[in-house]
Amino acid sequence: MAFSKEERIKKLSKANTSEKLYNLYEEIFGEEFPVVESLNPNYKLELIIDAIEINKKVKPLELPKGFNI
Amino acid sequence: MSKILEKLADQHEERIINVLYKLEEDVVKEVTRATKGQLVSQRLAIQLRPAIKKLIDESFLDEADTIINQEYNKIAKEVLDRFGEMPIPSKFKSLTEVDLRTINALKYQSFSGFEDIAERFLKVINDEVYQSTIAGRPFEDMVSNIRSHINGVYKSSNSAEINELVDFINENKFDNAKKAQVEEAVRKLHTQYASDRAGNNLRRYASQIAHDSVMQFHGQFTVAKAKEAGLTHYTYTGTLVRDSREFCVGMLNRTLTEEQIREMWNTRAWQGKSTGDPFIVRGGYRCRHTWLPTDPAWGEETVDELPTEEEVPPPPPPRTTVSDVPIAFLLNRGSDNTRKAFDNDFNSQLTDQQKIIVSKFNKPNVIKNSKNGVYFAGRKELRAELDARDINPDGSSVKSFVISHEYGHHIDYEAHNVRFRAWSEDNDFFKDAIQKDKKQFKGSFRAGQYRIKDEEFEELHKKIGTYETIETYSKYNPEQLLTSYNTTTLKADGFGEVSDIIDALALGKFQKKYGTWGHGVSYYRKRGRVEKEIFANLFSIRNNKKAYNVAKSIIPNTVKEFEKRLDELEKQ
Repeated sequence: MAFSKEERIKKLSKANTSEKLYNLYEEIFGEEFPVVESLNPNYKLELIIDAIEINKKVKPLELPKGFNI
Repeated sequence: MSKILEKLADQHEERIINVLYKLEEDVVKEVTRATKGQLVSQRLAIQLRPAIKKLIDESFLDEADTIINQEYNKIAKEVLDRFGEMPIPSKFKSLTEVDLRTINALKYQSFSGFEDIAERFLKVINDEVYQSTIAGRPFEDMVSNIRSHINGVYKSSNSAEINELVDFINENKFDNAKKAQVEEAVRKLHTQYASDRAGNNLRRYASQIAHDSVMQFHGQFTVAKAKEAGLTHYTYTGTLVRDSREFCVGMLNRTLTEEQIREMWNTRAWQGKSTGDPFIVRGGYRCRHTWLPTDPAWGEETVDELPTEEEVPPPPPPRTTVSDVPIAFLLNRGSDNTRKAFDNDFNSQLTDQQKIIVSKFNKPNVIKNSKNGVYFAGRKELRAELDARDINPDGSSVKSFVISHEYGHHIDYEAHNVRFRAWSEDNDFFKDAIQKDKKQFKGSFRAGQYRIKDEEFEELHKKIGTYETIETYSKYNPEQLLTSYNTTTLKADGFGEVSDIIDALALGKFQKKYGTWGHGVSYYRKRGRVEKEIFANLFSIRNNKKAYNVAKSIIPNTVKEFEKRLDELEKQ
């Protein structure tokens, strides 16, 4: 189900924990937040918020065999 | 430390730094005028001494005198204001004759600290002129050396880029919002332009004294007033910064009796401890903490137990006997200074045993100094950032051991001899130990996996960090608040790695739930990653006792297997 910008922003304003933000990403894009090249929680949450605001999911990192972060 | 005290310490440091620039120019001008740019007469070098002394007296010491006489009254007022808020008889809340005498004595003592270094650097500068004359050193070299003796790497330079960096640092040094950029500029200044000149200079000592004398004056006057009021308990207060000593981290917000504090002072040692009275020198040079008097009877504080030896860091370990292992020659690019810094950073993250192990096995094919840490087992490529730090929401940061984490992955693969497989994902003892450690926590089996309960993670989170609320505004409409949420502030160096270990035990849900450091849920969908990340994290914090001990308290059986593996690798 596609959400309007107004709906996404409203949902964002209610997502007041890290877990709610991850869940909202899943709800809006229908898939879980992908692997990105960072362990920094705030960087990841910024990506999530930005993705929801502009309605564009985060590009997953390509993971070749033997790849470790 | 109170905001006022913090501001005063920073302001005094800034004022002293500014006056040293004037001093640098005045001394160079005077030496140039007296010698006419020719170093021919040793007699002239001796005659210059009074003129240089006059310059130091009229700029540096005059400024120190002004600061002490005008500003230290503000510190005394701050102490009295604090006593004014305490439930003590009002006679202890006001300024007495004895207090005034104490304040004057303390002011005199502070000024003598500035006089001592002024005298010392007068000799250093004068010796420079005299020795340059004897050695026939070029005049320009001598001028450059004098500038270095005064302002170190922050001296005026002919290079526009260096001057820009120095200006940027000086203008923004006390601006918390620009902390990261200032640190980067300082790093650049030291590593790219002047790594050999980072040593002793007047600026270094003067700014330290400007800072410490504020804190020490506050400490001395506070203790004097506390004794007068009959208070015998003290709480260690202040805020933590990126490079807070482990002692300060361990003591923060603890309330102890004077006797306990003195006992600890006499029986314990820690990195950066200074000589002197515990109430005056506190954690050591540039310490931003204070012992504030209190009374448990007021009901606000309870008396804490003395921290155990494990909580208070032990004395620095003896100098290592194993040589550092160079790896920075494998960097695909980087100046000599960057390579040197990379090797230093890497080796500082290793124990002697790890250095022996690293030297025994083939090294990666290529290393890249890159923002994010990655290890590609197939092409043996290691990417890690030099001097990496985990940045907390409030702008403070803790050390992150990324180079050794990625090197841990390399060793895990390299010492296993099975293409694309790491030892940790194939070793049954290591895997079983992780499962055994998980089962020490409350939980249940779901889909064939043991899942630890949320309440257990709540307790684990308390070990590594605290919460901070972040507000996020739209990038496209900066006035629009999108959301605010809680995220984690790490307590100490290497705790990002400990968080990552817990995240592995939680299959990524620890990061998701607590907004903390970790690889996340999607990363742990693939088998073997839990084991590999735990191995790499243990490898990375092996040389940080505090972080390693926290990890050991969480996964004792895994740590035991990990240590067995290190012993095996050392003997191979």
